[in-house]
Amino acid sequence: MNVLEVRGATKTYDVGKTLVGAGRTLHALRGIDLAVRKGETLGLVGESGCGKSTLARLILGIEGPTSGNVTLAGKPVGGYGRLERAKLVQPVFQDPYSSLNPRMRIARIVAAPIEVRGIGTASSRRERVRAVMNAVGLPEHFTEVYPSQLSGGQRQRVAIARALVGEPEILVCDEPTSALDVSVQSQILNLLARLKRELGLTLILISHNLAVVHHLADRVAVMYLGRIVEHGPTEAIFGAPRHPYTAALLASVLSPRPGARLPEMRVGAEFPSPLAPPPGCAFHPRCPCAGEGCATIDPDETRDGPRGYRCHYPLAHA
Amino acid sequence: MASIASATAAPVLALSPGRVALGRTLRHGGFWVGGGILLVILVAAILAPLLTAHDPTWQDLGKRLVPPVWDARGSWEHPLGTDQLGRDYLARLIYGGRISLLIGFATVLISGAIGTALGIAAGYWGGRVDLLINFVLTIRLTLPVVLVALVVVALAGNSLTILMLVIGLLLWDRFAIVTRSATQQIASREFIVAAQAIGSSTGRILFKEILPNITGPLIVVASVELAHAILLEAALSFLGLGVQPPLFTWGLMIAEAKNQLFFRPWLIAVPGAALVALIFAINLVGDAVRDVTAPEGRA
Ligand SMILES: Nc1ncnc2c1ncn2[C@@H]1O[C@H](COP(=O)(O)OP(=O)(O)OP(=O)(O)O)[C@@H](O)[C@H]1O
Ligand SMILES: [Mg+2]
Repeated sequence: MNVLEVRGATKTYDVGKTLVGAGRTLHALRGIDLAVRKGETLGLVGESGCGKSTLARLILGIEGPTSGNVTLAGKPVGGYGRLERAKLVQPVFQDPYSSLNPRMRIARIVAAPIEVRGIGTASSRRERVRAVMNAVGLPEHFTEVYPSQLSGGQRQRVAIARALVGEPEILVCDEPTSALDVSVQSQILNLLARLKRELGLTLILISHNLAVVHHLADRVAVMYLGRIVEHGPTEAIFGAPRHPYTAALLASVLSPRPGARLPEMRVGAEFPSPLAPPPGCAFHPRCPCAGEGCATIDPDETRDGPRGYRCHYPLAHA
Repeated sequence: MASIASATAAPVLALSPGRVALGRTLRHGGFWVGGGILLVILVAAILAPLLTAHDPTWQDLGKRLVPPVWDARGSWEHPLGTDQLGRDYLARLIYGGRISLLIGFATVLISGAIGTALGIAAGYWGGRVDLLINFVLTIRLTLPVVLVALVVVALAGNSLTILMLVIGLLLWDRFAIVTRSATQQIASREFIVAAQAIGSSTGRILFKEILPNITGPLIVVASVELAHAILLEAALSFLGLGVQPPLFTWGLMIAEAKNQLFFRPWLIAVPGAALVALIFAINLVGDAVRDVTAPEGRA
C-alpha cells in the first residue's frame, strides 16, 4: 500500500508581488509524480534549488500544491486537521542550529508534538520523552539543558527525537546530515537506518548528495528543476543511470571531491532559473547528449519495469 | 529536580539563554547606574506617603515661594521650598513623579501591545498582511505626534485616561518596526516550520515560539518608548494640554513655574533635573539590554 502519493503536483510562487503589481511566477515544482510504499525509504536527490524542500513542505502539509495532489494514507494532505497530519508525517531538517527553539529546554522541545496533541499527562509525557531520547542515543540529563549547550550531532538527535515522539508513519528528512561534521554524518545516518528498521518507518531522505542516500534508500528519485527526471530502485539507478543528469550526479559523487558541484558539462550553462524554465527538456542546455527535439519537446516519462526516466536520448547500458 | 540526576550522568548546568542574558546585564556598568537611578525614582513614587509628611496639594498661602534648604532663607521644613501657592515642592516632586511614571508605563503597555501585535503579524504572515500593516505604519509615521496629540486632547478633553490612550495609540510605530524585523528573522528559522509540522496552533507559534525569542529587542524599544512617552506627556502638560489640576506631573510643574524662570529658577530646575535623571536612567538601562541582547550593536 502506498502511504504517500503525489500526483501531478506543481508549486508556483509569485515573487516581487506588491499590493497592486502582479510580480513574476517562480516554478518550484513542475508536475511531480511519486508513490512511496509503507516502510520504504525513498531517496530524493538533486541540485540546490531544484525543489526538494518545496516538495518536502507539500508532503508535510505546511503548504498546499498549486495544482495536483498529495495524498497521505489515501487522503489528501489538505483534508487532515493539523493534529491528524502531524500524527502521520514529521520532519527532520538540515540545520539543527536553526531547527530547535533556543529558548526551550530539550525536554520541552521533544515533548512538544505530544503536548500539542494533548496525549497523556505531563508525567507520562516526560516518561515518553525519556524513552525517545534513549532511543536516539541522548543521555537523560540532556532533558533540562538548552540547545545552545549541545553539539550539532546531539542537536540533530534531539530533532529526530522530536520527530519520533508522536510515532509518525512517515519521516521526511531534508538534508539531515549536510550541516554536520563528516564524522557525525555517518552516525546520524546509521541512527536513521536503525530507527527505520526498528520502527518500520517510511523514510523520505532528501539530499543533494547521492552518496548519502546510497546506503539507506530502497528507491531513488532524481529531481531537476521541479521535476523528477529519473526514479527507480537504488541499485538500478546507481548501477545503470539512464538519464544524463543522473549520470552527471553520480560522476560528481565519484569525483575526488565528493559532494562537489556538478561538473560543468558545457561552458556557461548554469543551473537554469525556475523563473524561466528552459523549453523542451529543462536539462537540455547542460546536457552532453542533447539532440534533435530536446530544446522543444518536453520528454514524457519512459517506464522500464520498476524504473522510469524522462529523456529523449537515454544512456544505454550493455 | 532530583529525577534528572541519574547515577552516571555528570550534572549539566542548564543555562537558559534568558538567564545568561540577565547575568551579562548584571555585569554591565550602565545597567547599574541607570537601574540605580530608576530604582530610587520608582521607590520614591511608590513609597511617596512615607517619604514626606506634606500633602502635595495643600496650599499654605502664607508660605508661598519659600526657597529650598540650600538657600539662606530656606528651612528643613520644606527641603525643596514651596511653589507659588505655598505647596511643599518635595511632596509635589514625589507625587508628580507618580503620575509621570504611571503615564509612561501605561502608554508603553498600550503602544507595546498594539505595535508588537502588528509587528509580529506582519513579520509572521508576510505577503498581503505585511503590505497592509506597512501601509498603516506609513500613515502613522506621516502623523506629527505632538500635533495630533494636541488636536485630540483639545477636542476630547484632557483626562488622564484620554492622555494615556492618545499617547499609547500614537507611539506604537517603533514597536511594530522592530518586532516585525525580529519576527521575520525568527520566522524563517526551521524551528518555526517544525512547530507548524507538529500541528501547533498559530497562537502557540506566535506566543511560545516567536515571542520569547524577541524579548531582547522588545525591552530595548520599550525603554526608548517609555522615555518618549514621559517626555511627550511633559511637553503636552507644558503646553497646557496634559494632565489638569488637581493632578500634576513633572511637566505640569515646569509649566506652572515658567513665569518664575529668572527669579526662582529652582522651581523649574528641580522637576527638570528629575525628568532628565529619569530619561537618562531609562536610556542607560535600555542601552545595557541592547548591548547584551544584540551583539552587533555592541561597541
Ligand atoms: N516561499 C518561497 N517563495 C518564493 N520562492 C521560493 C519559496 N520557497 C522556495 N522557493 C524557490 O523555489 C525553488 C526551489 O526551492 P527549494 O528550497 O525547494 O530547493 P531545494 O532543492 O530544497 O534546494 P536546497 O538544496 O538549496 O535546499 C528555489 O528557486 C527557491 O528560490
Ligand atoms: Mg532545501
